[in-house]
Amino acid sequence: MTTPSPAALLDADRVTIAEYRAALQAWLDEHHAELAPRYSPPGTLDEHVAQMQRVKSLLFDAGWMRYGWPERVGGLGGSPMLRTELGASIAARDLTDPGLYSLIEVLAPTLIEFSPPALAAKVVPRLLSGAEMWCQGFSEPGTGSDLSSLACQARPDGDAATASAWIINGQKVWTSLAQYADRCVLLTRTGPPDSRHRGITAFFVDMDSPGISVAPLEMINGMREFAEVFFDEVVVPADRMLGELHGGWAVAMSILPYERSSCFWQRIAYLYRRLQLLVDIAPDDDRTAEVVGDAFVQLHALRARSRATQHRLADGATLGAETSIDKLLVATAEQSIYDAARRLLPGVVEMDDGVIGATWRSEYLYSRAATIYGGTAEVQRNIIARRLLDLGDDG
Amino acid sequence: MDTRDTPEQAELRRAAHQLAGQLGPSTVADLDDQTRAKRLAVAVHDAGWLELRDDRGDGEPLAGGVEAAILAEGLAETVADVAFGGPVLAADLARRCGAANLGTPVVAYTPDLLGVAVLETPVTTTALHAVDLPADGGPVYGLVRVGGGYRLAQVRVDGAAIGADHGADLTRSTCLIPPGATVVEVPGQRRILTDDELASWTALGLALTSADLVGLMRGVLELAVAYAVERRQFGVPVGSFQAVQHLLADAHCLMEGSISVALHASWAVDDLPPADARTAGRVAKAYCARAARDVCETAVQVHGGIGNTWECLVHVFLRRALLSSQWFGDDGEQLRQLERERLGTVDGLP
Repeated sequence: MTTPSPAALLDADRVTIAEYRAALQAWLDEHHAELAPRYSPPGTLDEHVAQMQRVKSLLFDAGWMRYGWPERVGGLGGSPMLRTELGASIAARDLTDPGLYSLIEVLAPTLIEFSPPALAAKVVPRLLSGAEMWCQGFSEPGTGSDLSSLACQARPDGDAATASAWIINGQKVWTSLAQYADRCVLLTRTGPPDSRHRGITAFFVDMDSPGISVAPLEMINGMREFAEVFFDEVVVPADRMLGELHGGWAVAMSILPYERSSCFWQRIAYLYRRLQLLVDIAPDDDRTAEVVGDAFVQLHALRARSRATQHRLADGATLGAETSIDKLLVATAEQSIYDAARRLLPGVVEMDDGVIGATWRSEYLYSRAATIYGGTAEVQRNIIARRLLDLGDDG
Repeated sequence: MDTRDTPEQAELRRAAHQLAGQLGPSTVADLDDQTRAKRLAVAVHDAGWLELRDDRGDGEPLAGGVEAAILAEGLAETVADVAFGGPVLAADLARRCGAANLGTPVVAYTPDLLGVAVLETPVTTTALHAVDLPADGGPVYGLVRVGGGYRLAQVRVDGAAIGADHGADLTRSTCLIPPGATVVEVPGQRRILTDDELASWTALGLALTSADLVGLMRGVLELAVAYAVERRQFGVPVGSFQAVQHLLADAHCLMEGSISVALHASWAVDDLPPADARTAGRVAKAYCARAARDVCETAVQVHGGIGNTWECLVHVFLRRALLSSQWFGDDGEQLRQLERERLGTVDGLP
């Protein structure tokens, strides 16, 4: 063993965010060479995934990855804001892609809340340490904005109450990193076809189960981080059910608070980094000042909003419809940064096939989806109008 | 100007629509179909469309800016992957210089694509871009300065053929020409290209790229409306939701505005004094570039997740709009130039 890491010196329950950040930054500085990507940019998806798992492994071994997670799943305890700080710090240093990394925040809290304790104790540390990758099987081809209409079916091998296993048939789509995943948090239809949110059940499925096939989807920028997943008579043990039978909607909704707080915070750190990279190469003139200034103001307002959201979550508030505001702000800020890049680097997004052009072009094109994934801008506006402004019913 | 098509223009519009509909890509996978792309290139060549701006014998072009714009629009409507604007602009530049028999040339642009590259002999000192090359490449020309204006000069890359690279657009070839290319003045030019003639040529470039953007808006909006009718969520077509209707209605308005302003610019090329034609082109381009981005992004948005996949044709429109916007300058560039040219200040308002 090497000398004890500085992380071990911090008391998770008493450390302040500022103290944690200072110690973390010092450690990240010290281990810069070890953590840095081994590939030359922009890198392939295989390389990004390998890099993320390697960084998670290093952070877990040094203890950083365990702050903010309960001790019963291998954590050191403390506020969830500690793990948010970690995610933001590594995004700000371009050590991992925040979109890939944020799957931890989307999936681990769900397992902790809804799985049998022994299962969470066994698998969550494997996710945190990079030993495993998980994916999220929610959307279906006919089920985008209207998630409660999902059709992927699970039927019991006998009576539902005493079944030892469930048999799954159907299809999922937009499943991030399914081709790399060891497990899947899957929403299935267990009630009648028209039972909407009342007839959905969640399962934790091993991706190497017979009958699962994965077909990656090529995206607008040529990357393949999403996939279609097909289930053909896939057998899942009954003890892999997450939450109650027909209680899958609660599982699905439990993801929202972390997706809309910690994941956004990491995204924001990443976007600040992008804006800085743009400032580094844009011409130093009035136009740059105006365009960058505009993007910065949007990003800053978003950051202030997101900070407040996280403090509310940490103080025990239940997050709900008001996070649709965070969602719209993050999508708008993200697109404004890439619009700024297109405007300030004339010909680069359009023509340049070098690393700079290829990277900005890929991210520019992908940023057009920011108003779609995680809930379209139109659906967010409906929620804001109906639930926050009390304009009409929820349909 | 009379904004109605003449019978000849209507026929040209119909022919372009038909040809692009038959031989343009109808799926993203079609872009890999070399046989189809070659048939399209042969058909465009055989129709004589690349020669529209050639010299008819008295120094004037065979056809007007409106006719060229009608074809540019028609080809863009189905993201037809064939060289058109590139060769037509090169032929127009050659005609203005009184140079003949150049094959199917293309123009060397500055790296930001704002205009034709003005070069020094004997070799280039900066990188250049050729845009919208024919599949088999072609000779590339820039300008050299002479007393009273410019002359045409060929850019030769020694020891290597000029080949296509990629860029954002999947339907037209662009090519980076690194510094160090040989610059040779074209012999036998009958005229010196004046600043006025250059302004007039720029007006054509602005009109053709604006027309291309109009065609893209028509085509992509048609896809988006069809998808809004076909795609169902919450038990009804997504196009029945007001939020989606408003997006598409806004896009439709932007397209209609673009059609009008681009038509004016294409008419202006041959019918207004050069500086005014260029101004009309800048106004059109400023409007169309901004509108086309909005319309393409609306089409992505209406398609939802599918709109972000490679196999959805929408991104082919968005990518082409990126190149057409930047070619001769995007909206921001046009506004800066208008401020400079119309208000007479070099560095913005005092």
